[in-house]
Amino acid sequence: MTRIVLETQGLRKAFGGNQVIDGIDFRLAAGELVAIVGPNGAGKTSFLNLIAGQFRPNAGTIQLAGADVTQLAPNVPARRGLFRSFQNGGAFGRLSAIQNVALAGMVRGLGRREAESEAGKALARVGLSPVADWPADHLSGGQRKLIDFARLLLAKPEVALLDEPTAGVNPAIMEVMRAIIAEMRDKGVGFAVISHDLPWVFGLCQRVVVLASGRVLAAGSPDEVSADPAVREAYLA
Amino acid sequence: MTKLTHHLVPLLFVAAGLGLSLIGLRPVVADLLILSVYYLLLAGSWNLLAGFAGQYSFAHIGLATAGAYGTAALVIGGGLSGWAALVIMPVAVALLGGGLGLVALRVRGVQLPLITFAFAGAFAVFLAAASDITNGSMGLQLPKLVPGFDRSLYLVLGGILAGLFFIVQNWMIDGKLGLLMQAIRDNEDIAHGMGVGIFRVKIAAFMITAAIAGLAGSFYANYVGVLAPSMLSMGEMGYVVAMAVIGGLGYRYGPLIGVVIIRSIEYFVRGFGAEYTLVIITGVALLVVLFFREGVIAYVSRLMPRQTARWRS
Repeated sequence: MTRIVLETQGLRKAFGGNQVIDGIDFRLAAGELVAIVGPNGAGKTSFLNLIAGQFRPNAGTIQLAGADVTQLAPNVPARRGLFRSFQNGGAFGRLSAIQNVALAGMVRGLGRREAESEAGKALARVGLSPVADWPADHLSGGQRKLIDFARLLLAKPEVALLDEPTAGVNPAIMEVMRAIIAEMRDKGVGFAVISHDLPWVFGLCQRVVVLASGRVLAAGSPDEVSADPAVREAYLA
Repeated sequence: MTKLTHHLVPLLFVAAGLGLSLIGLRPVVADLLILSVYYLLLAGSWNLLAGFAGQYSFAHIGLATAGAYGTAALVIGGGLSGWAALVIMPVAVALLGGGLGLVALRVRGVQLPLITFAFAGAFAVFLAAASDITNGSMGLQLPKLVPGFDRSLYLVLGGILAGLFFIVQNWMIDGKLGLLMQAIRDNEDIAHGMGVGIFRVKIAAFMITAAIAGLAGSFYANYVGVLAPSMLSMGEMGYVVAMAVIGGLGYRYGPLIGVVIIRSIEYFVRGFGAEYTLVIITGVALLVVLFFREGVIAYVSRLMPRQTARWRS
């Protein structure tokens, strides 16, 4: 039986009168990649923020690798094997690329020297070795997104939540990202990936969850959701 | 500038202290240099807190004053030597800073400056009001560290303390704590989401920099020998901030450059009176903010990017 690494039940979140997440049940198995798609404002990023602890849910539960992480501060799920990337890249501007990546190893318990050594290898893997000592605010948007992927390699998570990793990046970088995701997925990491690049994400995922107005509009294989009339009307039309 | 240079800087300060103590400086110059060490410890540690950890606290001068008055309490009230106070007060002020941090560091944005400002203000009022303990504006008198010793002892001690500061600074910035502090400075939410224990890192930074402020205060008390509540003023805090900002906030040697610039101005315009000194320093601060946004050292580092790559982190 496949091990469930992430599960949400009845997850709800409102800001004032605005119900951004309205009862989402979600399951992710080890080694599975689920694409989370939907129109802008559907609640995709808010859903990831709830799982990662950036938002506290009003109702519902979140289980990470069998342990309840509902209402915990974001550093706790991160230390228990949750990785999260951000829509606009999560680089620390004044730190060098290698320092940015090394942090992912340090929160795992590595010393700074060991973490920087591992970070050097991860940067080589994503093709950022020539800019390893550059401050992140001197890097392009695509390069900053690759810093997230180098961190992902160092973080060795059980679950990775990626928020629009391919937005604004060129095909060569997308291929690097695809290869890393496929490799880690095959090693048992569960991925939930938000993307508007449907051909790219459908080529990687086993399952698609379509969100609209904070609810699951449809779920299934890429072919099933693509053929769903409600999905076509809300998102694909 | 390489890591080797960072390790040589502390030795340079110790050697300078020893060398200057031997050449018989004029008292006015010796005073200037010795008190510059006090400001270097304050501006340098404030730079670690604000420039590297992104925590803009205005309690720093209050913590230094706590170190100074604590020294007076230990020496006058407790019968201990000034040397013992130099060791005890950094620990005591670190604990005080930790206590303040437990309250002040739970908030973000403008609340931290406000809470720390209130702490410093309340402490200043206490020092003035508790005149039966502090002797009010008449001041408290402390004995010298070694009876009969002149300024040369303090030049050596100042060199050692400045060297010690740079050793602590290198240990922080080059270690795990320094990187975590800088991550929090650049983006607290993302650092938190990566697994960084934000509060623990902030408290650690607050306590270490408070210890340095306590050491600075104890050194000040032992050297000046007279303590008055005027030591704790927001003008003095502004002075410390100006040194860090003019030199370069978030740069290892920014506060050092700031202290050199401001103390030099003070020295050269001292005949015109304190008001003019303040006007000139304000003018310099404005020029730096307008033309060298990140401080004088940032301008130098842009001229020599390769040699200065490690000045920031």
